[in-house]
Amino acid sequence: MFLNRRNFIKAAGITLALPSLESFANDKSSEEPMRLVCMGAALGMNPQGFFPNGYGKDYKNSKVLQPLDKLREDFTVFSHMDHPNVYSKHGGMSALFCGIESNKTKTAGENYSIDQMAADHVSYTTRYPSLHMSVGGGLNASWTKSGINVPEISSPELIFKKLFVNDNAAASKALGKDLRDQGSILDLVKGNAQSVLSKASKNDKEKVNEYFTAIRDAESKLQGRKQWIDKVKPSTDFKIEGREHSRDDYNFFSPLFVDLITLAIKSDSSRVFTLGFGMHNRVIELEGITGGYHGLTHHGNRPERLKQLWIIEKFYISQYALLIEKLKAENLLDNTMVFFSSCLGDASRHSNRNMPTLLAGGGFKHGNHWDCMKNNSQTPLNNLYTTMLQRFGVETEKFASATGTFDPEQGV
Amino acid sequence: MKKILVLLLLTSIPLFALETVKLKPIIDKYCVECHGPDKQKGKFRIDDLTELDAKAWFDVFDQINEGEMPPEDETQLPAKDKTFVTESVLEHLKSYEEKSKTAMRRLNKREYSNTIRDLLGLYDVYDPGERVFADEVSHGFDTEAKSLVISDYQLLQYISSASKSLSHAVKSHSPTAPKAELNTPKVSKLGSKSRDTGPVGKNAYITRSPKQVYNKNNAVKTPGYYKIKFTASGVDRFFYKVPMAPVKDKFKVALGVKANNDNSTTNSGSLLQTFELEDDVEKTFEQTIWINEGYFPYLQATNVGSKPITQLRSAIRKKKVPKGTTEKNHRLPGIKITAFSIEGPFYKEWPMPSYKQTFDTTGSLDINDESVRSSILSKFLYKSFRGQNNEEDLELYRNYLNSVQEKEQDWNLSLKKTMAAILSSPKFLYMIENENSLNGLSLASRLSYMIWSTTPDKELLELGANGKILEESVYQAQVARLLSDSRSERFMNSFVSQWLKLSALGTMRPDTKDKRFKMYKPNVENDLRKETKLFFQHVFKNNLSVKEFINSDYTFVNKGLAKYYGIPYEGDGTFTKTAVPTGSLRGGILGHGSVLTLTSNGVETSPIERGIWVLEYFLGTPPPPAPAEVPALTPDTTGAVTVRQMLDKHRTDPACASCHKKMDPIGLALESFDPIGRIRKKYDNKTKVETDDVFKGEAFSNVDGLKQILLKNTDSFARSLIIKIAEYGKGRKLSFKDYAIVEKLVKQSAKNNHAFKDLFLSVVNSDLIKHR
Repeated sequence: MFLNRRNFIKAAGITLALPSLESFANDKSSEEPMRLVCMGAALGMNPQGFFPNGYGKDYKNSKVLQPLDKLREDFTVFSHMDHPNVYSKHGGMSALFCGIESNKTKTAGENYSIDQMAADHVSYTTRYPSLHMSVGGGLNASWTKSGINVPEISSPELIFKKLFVNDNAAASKALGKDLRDQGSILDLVKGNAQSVLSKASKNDKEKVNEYFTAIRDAESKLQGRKQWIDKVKPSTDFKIEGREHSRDDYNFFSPLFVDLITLAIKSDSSRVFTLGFGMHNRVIELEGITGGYHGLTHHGNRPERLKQLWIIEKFYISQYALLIEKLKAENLLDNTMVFFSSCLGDASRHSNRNMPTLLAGGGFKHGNHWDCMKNNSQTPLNNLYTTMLQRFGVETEKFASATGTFDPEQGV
Repeated sequence: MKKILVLLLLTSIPLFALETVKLKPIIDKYCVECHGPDKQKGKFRIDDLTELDAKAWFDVFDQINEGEMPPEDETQLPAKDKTFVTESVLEHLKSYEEKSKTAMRRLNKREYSNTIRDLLGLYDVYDPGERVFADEVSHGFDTEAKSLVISDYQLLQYISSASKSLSHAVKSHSPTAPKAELNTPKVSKLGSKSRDTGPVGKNAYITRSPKQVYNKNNAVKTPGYYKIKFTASGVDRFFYKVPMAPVKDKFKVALGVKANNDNSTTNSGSLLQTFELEDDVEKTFEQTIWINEGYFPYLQATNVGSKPITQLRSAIRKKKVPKGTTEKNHRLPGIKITAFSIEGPFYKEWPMPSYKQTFDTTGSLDINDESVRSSILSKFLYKSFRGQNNEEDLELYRNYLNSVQEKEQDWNLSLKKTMAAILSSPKFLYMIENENSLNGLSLASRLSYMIWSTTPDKELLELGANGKILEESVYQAQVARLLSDSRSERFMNSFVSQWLKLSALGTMRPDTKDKRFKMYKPNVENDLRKETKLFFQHVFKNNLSVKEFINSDYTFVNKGLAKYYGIPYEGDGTFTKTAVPTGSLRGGILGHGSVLTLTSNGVETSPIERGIWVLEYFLGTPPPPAPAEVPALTPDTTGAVTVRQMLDKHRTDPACASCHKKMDPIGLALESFDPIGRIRKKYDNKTKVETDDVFKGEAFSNVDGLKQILLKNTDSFARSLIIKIAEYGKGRKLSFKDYAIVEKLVKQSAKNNHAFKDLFLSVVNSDLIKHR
C-alpha cells in the first residue's frame, strides 16, 4: 500500500565496512549489547482503528496494525496502559518517555526519560550515546537527567553525516583543540565556582549542586567526545537518493530514518534512538490525504476523516514494521527493543488514557495482546519501562513513578 | 494586642492564641459544615485550627479574600468578619519560618543575549544566544530561578558561545583597519546546482525557486562593511502560457546574510533588503552591509512560486505546457544573475564600535603591555560580574591568561580565551543576591534585569557599587530613567507575552486550506501578537487603569487586521489605535484574536479551554485540575448535540459543577469568536451560537455583559497583576509573608483607579522588589 520508492536499497544489499577492531577499544565484551528504539506519534492513535479484538495469542488484528500481520510473533500489543498522572492533553507529549510533563516537575530532572537513562548507561562506549530523529516536527519527549530537552534532528543528511562522514584532518584537529580549550575553561570555572559557591547560603545548595553536576557531566562529555575524534567512522555504500517534496513528504523521510537507525545499530555507532512523528495541522504527503493532520484527529466520527486518519496511522505502523523487518534481516532484533506509543490515547477527545503501545524485539517472547486493566485501573506504562530498562542493563527497581515491573511475556 | 502577638510568634507558638478565640466562632459558623468532621469538601478540613499548616492557612486567606468561599449559594460572611479573618490570617502567616528562597538565578536566554550584546557592543544580526538552548519554563515566567536549571549541555554551550561572541567583537588590536579587497567569485558557482537552480553557461546563474542562493566559500574572514554588487534580471515570465508566480508583479530579489553553522538554533539567515528587477533587462544593484566573520551573503528570489514543481506538475497534468516538459528541464519564471562581487571590509570607525565597548576604550590598546592587560581584565571583570568582582578573581584570571599565553604565544588569542572563561563563570551566568534587604549591587542588577532584561549600564552599576541606589530619591530617579528608555519595552513585551501565554499562538495552526480559515495568512500571527503588545504598552505608558485590559473602546490594528476583524479602519495601513464599534464585542484583551486563537486548537473552539485560560492566566485565579475519572468532552461534529448541551452535562454532575460553573460561562460568552478569533453567529452545522449565561450569580447575554461583571471585581484582577509583576521581577514565587504587602498595594491601587504604571511603580518601590 505504501509505495516506498527507496525499497531498492534493501534489494541491492547495503555494505557496511567497519573500521579495524582496534578502534573499538571500548567494546570489550563479547556479548551482543542491547539497543533501544523508542518511536512515538504526537497525536495519538485512534483506538477504534488501533486496538485488536480479543486478548492473548488469538486476538484478531486491527486494520491499523495490519502492516504487522506477517510479524505477529515478533511484537506485543498492550491495551489499557498509560501514565496515570498525565491529564494535560497535548501537553502530555512531553511525558511520553517519562510519565510526567515537563511543566509539572518539582525538581529538575524529575522527568529524566528512559531513552536518556539508557543513553547515560551506554555513555561514550559508542560514538553517540543516543540519536534523536523526527518527521513532521519534534516530540520534545526526551529529557536529560537535569531536565533539559534533547533536540531532535529532522534531516537524514545530518544523521548520515554524523554516522559515516569523517571530518577532514584540519577540522578534526580544530575540534580537538576546541574540546581541549573547553576543558581548560571548565577546570577554571570549577575552581572559580568552588570559591564563589562555597560562600553561598545553605538555601542555595540545590542550585550549587546543580551547577557542580553540570560541570562534572560536561567534563565527562568532553572526555567521551575526545575519545572518538581521531577514530575513523565506518563507511558504507548506502546513499541518500532523491530529495523531499516538502517537509511533509513522510514517505521520503521516514524510511530513510529507519535505514539509518538500522545502519547505526549494525555499526554500533549508537545504541539508543528516538524517532518521532510530530504534531501539526498540515497536509501530510501520503496518498489519499487531503486534510490537515490535527484536524483529522478531531474526526467527530465523520467517516471521511477517520478514513484519512487511519491512512496516516497505518503509515506509522508500516514504518514500525519496516524497522522490525530490517533488524530481523540483520539478526539484530533479539538485541533491540523497538517500542512505539503516544501519550494521547484518543486524540479526538484529548484523552491521555489507554496509550497505544507496542513492543518488539529485545529477546522477549512476543505474540500477545495484553489487557493491562488490573483491578479496574490501567497499568502504569512506567512499569513496562522499568522492565525494558532492566533488560537494557540499567540497574533499577522502579523507573520514576513506576509501581513495579511489567513482564511483556506474561502480561503481568 | 499586636505586641503580644509578636511576642507569641517569637516564642514560636504556631497559633495566634489571642485571635483564635475570636476566629474560631466565625469559622465554626461559616465553614465547618462542609469542611469539618462530617464532610471534607475538596479534602479540606478546618474545624481544628491547630492542625492547619501555612499552606492551609494561605488557602483559607485566599479563598475568603477572593470571595470563592463560602460558595455563592451558602450564607455569606459579613464584610466586617471577612476583613477580620483575612487580616488576622495574613498576620499569622508572617510567623511561619519559610524556607528562604534561593539567591542564585541564572540569566535566561533573552537576558543572556542582551547582556552579551551590551558587554561586547554586538548590535548586528549576530545573536550571541543563538546556540543557547531555550529555557524550559514551567508555570510562571522565564525569570523564575527554579526553572532556570543548568546542565552540561548548557555549560558547554555557554563556553563555546562566549568564544564565538568574542571573536565577533574583537578582531585585532592593530591601530589601523584591515585593507579592503575586491572579490569576484565565479557567477556560475554562486549557489548550488539543483532542479530549480544552477549555472547557465559560464557567466550566469538562474534560480527558479525561493531558496536562498549562496556559496559558503564566500564567507568573510574579517567582520566589517562589505559592498555587494550584483547584476540581475527576471527571466521566463511567459515561457509557459499559464500564469505562474510572480504573475503580474515585478520580480523581486532579496539580499541577506547567513552563517555557516549547523549547530545554531537560529540559522535561517537574515534578509536585509529587497530589490525589484526588470524582465530580461539587466540591472546592477549595489548595497553596503555589515557582515560578520564566518557569515556570507545570499540572494533569494522572493516572489517566484514557493513550490515551483507543484505549480508545474498541475500544469503538466492539465496539458497546459508543451509536450516533453518535465520536472528536470522546466523553465518556470526565475531570476538570472550575471555579475556578483564583494568588496571590503570597510569601517566607519576604527577600532570597531564593539572593540571600543568591549575594552571601554576610544582607541586601540597595546596588549603587549602587562599593565594594559591587567587593566583590561579588571575592567572586564567589573562589568561582567556586575560589580561583584574581587582581587581573588583578578588573580585567578591573570594567571589563566598567562598560562594560555604560554601555549598560544598570541596575546590577542589568549586574552579572548580568558575573557570567554570570564563569561562562563557562575559569577557572570548567575545573579547572586544577598539575604533580606538587597544591597546596592544586588538591587541595581535586579532593577536592570526587571525593566531592561540586561546588565546594568555604567550609571546604574556605579550607583549600585557606591550604594547610592539605596537612597529613595536616587532609586526612584533610576526607575524613571530606565522606564523612559526604549529598552523598557523589553519588560512590557516579555511580561505581556508570558502573562497571556502568547507563545502558544502558532503551536496548533489552523489549516488554511480549510475555507473557514482562509483569512489566517502567514503574517497574521505576527500581527495578532503585535496588537496585544501595542495594547499593553499603550495602557502602561499612559498610566491607564487596568480596567482597560478587561474592556476598552479601541484596539491596535493595521489595515489587514482591521479587515480580519471586520472593523472600520482609518490609517496609513500600519498599526494604529482604532476605535472598535459598539456591539462589535472586540474591546479589551478578551477580544484580541491572539488569545482567542491560542485558546483554540486550530480546528474548533473549546469553551472549557477558553474558560480555563481566562481564569488561570488572564484573571490569575486558576481552577483546580479536573478530577481524574471524568472523561473530557467528546466533540461530535455530526451535529446531534449542541455545545451548550454538552457543557450542561458537566454542570448537572455535582462533582463538576463547582468549577464548571466558573469556567463554562466565560467559554460560552467567547463562543461568539471562531477558532481564529473572528466573529461568528452560527456554527458550521448552522446551529445558532448562544452566549447567554450566569457568572458569579449575575446573568449576561454576551461577552460585553460578562466584561461588566468582571469589571466589578477589578481589585482581584489588580491583585493578580501585582503578584505577577513582583514574581517576574524577583525571579521567584511570592512567599506567604509577601502577601501582606500585596494586600497593602491592592488597597493603594484601588484608591488610584488601578492606574497601571502607578501599580507597577508601587511594586518596584515596595519590599517585594527591594527585598530578596
